[in-house]
Formats: sequence, C-alpha cells, structure tokens
Amino acid sequence: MRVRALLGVGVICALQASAPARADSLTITASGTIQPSCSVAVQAAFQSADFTASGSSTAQALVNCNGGFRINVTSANGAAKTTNQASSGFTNALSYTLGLSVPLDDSSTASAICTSASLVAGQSTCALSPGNATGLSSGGKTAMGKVATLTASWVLPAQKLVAGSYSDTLTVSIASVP
Amino acid sequence: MKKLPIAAVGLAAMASTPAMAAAGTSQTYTFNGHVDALCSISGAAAVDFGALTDGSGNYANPGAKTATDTGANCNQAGTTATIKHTDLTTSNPATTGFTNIVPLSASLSTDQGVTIADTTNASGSTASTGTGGTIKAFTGLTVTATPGTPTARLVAGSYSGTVTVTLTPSA
Repeated sequence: MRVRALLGVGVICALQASAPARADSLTITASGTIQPSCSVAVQAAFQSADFTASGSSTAQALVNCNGGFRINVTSANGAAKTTNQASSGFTNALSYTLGLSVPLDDSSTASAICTSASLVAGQSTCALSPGNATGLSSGGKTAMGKVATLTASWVLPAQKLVAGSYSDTLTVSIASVP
Repeated sequence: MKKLPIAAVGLAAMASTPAMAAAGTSQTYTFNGHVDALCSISGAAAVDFGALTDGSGNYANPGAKTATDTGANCNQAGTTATIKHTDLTTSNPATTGFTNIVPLSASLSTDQGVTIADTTNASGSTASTGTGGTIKAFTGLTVTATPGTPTARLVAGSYSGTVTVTLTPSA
C-alpha cells in the first residue's frame, strides 16, 4: 500500500513537470451580410417663390446609402401651375429646371439638371426622369448622411403669368443599385 | 478558451443587426410660388375729332376715333371693366334750332379680343350709367368713341366729352 501511494504521487508530479508552456489559440471565421440600404429624408423644404421675376429656390434632402444608388424624381404637373384660367396672351404654367446634387463619401458629387417637363411620369429623357432606368447614379459610391441639394430655377416665359398661387409636387425616389 | 464565447457573442450581434430604411424610399417636396395681382392703365389719352361741321355748318360725322394703351394690363383671370361716357358738349348755349350736344357711344376692347360696349346713353355732360363685364387677364386696351348724329345744327364752339374705363382686378 505504501508503494502504491508513492507511485501515485510520482505520476502526478511527472505529469505536472511534463506540461509545456504554450499559448492557446483559436481561429474564428466571422461572416455576415450587410444588406444594401438607402433612405432619403426631407432636410429642408422649398420656400415659396416669387414668380414675378426669374429666380431659383432650393431644398435639401438627407441621403443615407451604404452602397451604390440611383435617384429619380417625378413631377406631378411638369411645371408649376395655378388653377386660375389663363386668357390669350397669358399662361398659368411656369416651366422650370430641377437640379439635384448629391455629395458622395469619396468627396465627389453626383448631379443632374432636368427640365420639369422631363420629370413627368413616363418620361425618360433626363437622368432624373422617372422612367430613366439608370437615374442619377452614384456610380457605385456611397453617401452616408450626406445632404443633397435640389435647385429649382425658372425664367419668366414670353407670355405673362396669370396671377395666382402656383405649385408642383416633386417626389424624390432613391434605390440601391447592386 | 475564453475567446470562444466572446467571438460567439460577436457573431450573434452581427447577425442580428437590423436593416436600415428599406431601399427605394421616397420623399415628397412641394415647389410653390405666387404671382401677385398687377393691374395698370396709363391714364387719360386725348382724341381729337377735328371739325364737326362742314363749310356750310352742316354736321360732318368724323367717325369713330380710338385711343390705344399698349401698356395697359391686368394679370388676374377674373378682371372686370366698366365703361361709361358723356356726350360731346360745349358750354356755349344753344338757341332754338341749334344744339350743343353731339351724342357719343363708347366701347373698349382688349388685345385678347374681349369687347365691352357701353349700351347706356349719356345726357349731355351727364355721364351714362355705364356697362360692365369680365375682360379676364389682358394686355393692351383700346377705347373707341363714336359720335352719333346731333338733333339739330351744332352751335359753334369747342366740344368735348369723356370716356371712363374702370378696371377691377379679381382672381
């Protein structure tokens, strides 16, 4: 019994003495998917404009896209219009151009200028046209928390504008581009 | 061995990251403005009918005369106008067999083709009650005065009358 007891102690000591000093390591491969996402929010609305003289008005949009994206704009009227009737020599529609400039994360800018008529549903002639499949493209670049500027500019038409309140509704749509 | 649970927590966090706003979102902007009401007319314009009688003292109708204000305009769709007039008269008294009144009629027209004729009669230098109507938005105004036939020979003198146009802008 004594011998066995001594042997048992010896084994334990031997095991302790033979354990090498080394670092433990474990390699973990982490993977996941970040879904492309895009959002646009109104940062500042257009101010009411005075259409008795040529001029421009601006609005702002907050753009968040973590990948490439495109933007299209739809104009409800194709011009700023009033419901007041226009007699001969007058008009109740004011055409304008819409410029959209989006700063991108790489410090470049995506921008386009389109006539209001080209922004009517079904039109595709301009980059921002609702039917333009490419839209205003970021070229695959991102825009996280960037403030885009919308600029509506107008020149008084040859025909006089009939008095009244004029308006148009612009819908800015943004979509991720794979 | 302690790294495993930490790494596992990291993976769980990455997998549960919620998607941001859905792609394809849109926002609506209203682009609006106004055109204020403007209305202007240059004011009085003189029309000279010249001699109203011939060498024998008989009335010689000079025919209609017009005064055109190319700068007159109103940009409101519901603009109305009223036109009234007096006859051509002279302050010289008319004895029996003579008159100092030449009846006048008046009308206005816009470059847009709207015409309003004063269908009421004046009584000498007392103006007609006038006629009004909607002339809409317009540019350019022409007023026409047309002498009629006096009831007797005209007494000598300088004759004058007026045509008054009143514009009322309305949306």
